[in-house]
Amino acid sequence: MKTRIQEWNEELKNGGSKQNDIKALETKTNYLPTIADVADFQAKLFEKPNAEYIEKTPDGKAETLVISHIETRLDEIYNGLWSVSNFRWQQIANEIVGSLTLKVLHPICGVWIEREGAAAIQIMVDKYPEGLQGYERNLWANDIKNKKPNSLYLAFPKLKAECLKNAAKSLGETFGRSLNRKLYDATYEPEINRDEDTEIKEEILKLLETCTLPEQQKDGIRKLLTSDVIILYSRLVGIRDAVMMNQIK
Amino acid sequence: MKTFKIRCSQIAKIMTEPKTKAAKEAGELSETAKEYCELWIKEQIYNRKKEVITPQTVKGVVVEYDSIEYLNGIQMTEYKKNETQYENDYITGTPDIITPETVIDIKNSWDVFTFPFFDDEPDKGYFWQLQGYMILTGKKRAELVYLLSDAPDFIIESEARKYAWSQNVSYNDNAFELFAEFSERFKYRDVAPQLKVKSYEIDFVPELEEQIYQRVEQCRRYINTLITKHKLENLL
Repeated sequence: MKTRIQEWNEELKNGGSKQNDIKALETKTNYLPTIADVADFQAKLFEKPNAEYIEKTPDGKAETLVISHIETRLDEIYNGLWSVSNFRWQQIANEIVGSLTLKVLHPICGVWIEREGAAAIQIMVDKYPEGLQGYERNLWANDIKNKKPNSLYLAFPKLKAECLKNAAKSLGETFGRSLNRKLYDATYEPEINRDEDTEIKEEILKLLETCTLPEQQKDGIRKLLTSDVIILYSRLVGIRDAVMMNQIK
Repeated sequence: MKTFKIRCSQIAKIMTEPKTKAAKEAGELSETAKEYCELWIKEQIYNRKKEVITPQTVKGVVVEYDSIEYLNGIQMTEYKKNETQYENDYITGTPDIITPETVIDIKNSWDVFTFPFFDDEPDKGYFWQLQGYMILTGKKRAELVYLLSDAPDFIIESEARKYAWSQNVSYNDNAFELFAEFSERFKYRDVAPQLKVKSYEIDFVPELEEQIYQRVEQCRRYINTLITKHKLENLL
């Protein structure tokens, strides 16, 4: 099913007559987004991140998207209409934790959406002297006197970048939402986009597995459902109900 | 003047018996039958059809084709809506479905409370209606099928609006909740199919054919009496 945006784009792409263009413009002027339009846009956010911009974290244990790619994607998807605010930070022992608010203008709905992002960086200290172990080693790391002179020169901006990455992640897959996650759901299946007919056909096919109707009849239904024949929704509901009435007890 | 013929859906009205024993013995028409005859005359002299438009009748008309499709799905049939109006010298009617063996009429219940789940016998009015269809089509068997079908959205919205008005609340301010609430009331996707279909088989009763014809003749006589009494001859 095509959304209004797709139809409009197609109409413009195909040139069309002037009259059509005017009509398209009028449609655009009076345009109200549908839920399908929103779902269409949301699907864009669920595109996989470009592998070219995925790098290993400094410890080599995880993967991350480079910040410039995140920023470019925000520019591309939100047409540059994004900003960060409320950047806050706090030192906790030898770490600095930070958070910020990412704001993006939803291009379909025209509303600002906010996402919080949080991250932490470690204050780099000199290497602990030989022989220090366990608790003493921790004390060494937490002692500000041992801080490297320029340790925050690069690390502090990195904190902001990590906060931004973290905020952007929650927008969708394309910002690396599922990176480093063992179990994740990266498939976008908007409820609204599910075609009612497809849904009920799937339901019938599933019910047929436990149906007591004669095999010949079941095959007939399967064939009908998988054919190109247009079946009215009300008939599909009837078939579904018939199959439901004949289920293995 | 147009000859009075009874529509199948109205046969029950003229077949009702008078309330008093005396009237019965005198062979008079019942008050219901008389009222129907008067209505018929009014339709002729004013050239206006009495149409009762209620949400229930609107639903019946709107879901008519969908309900045949539903029946096709559930019975694995290929019924088509009959569009031919049948008539003989006494009765006229358009059955929903005509098969080689039967006539089928579908009734879409307004809601679960008007769905005749516990009724063992078909409604008397529909019984007569189907007798009429069988006379017209020559079938010896008829099927009366009740369906509990989903109401269209515009009816649901209309009912929700009526409710909001009766409660003195704004529909627009509560549209989402009200529509959801009324959808639940008038849509039955969650209801087991066994609870949504009820059918009655009705056999043709040959002796009723003659009874109907006689009653139509009686109505015609009553109509003529009224025409003479009110000097309507020139208006018809």
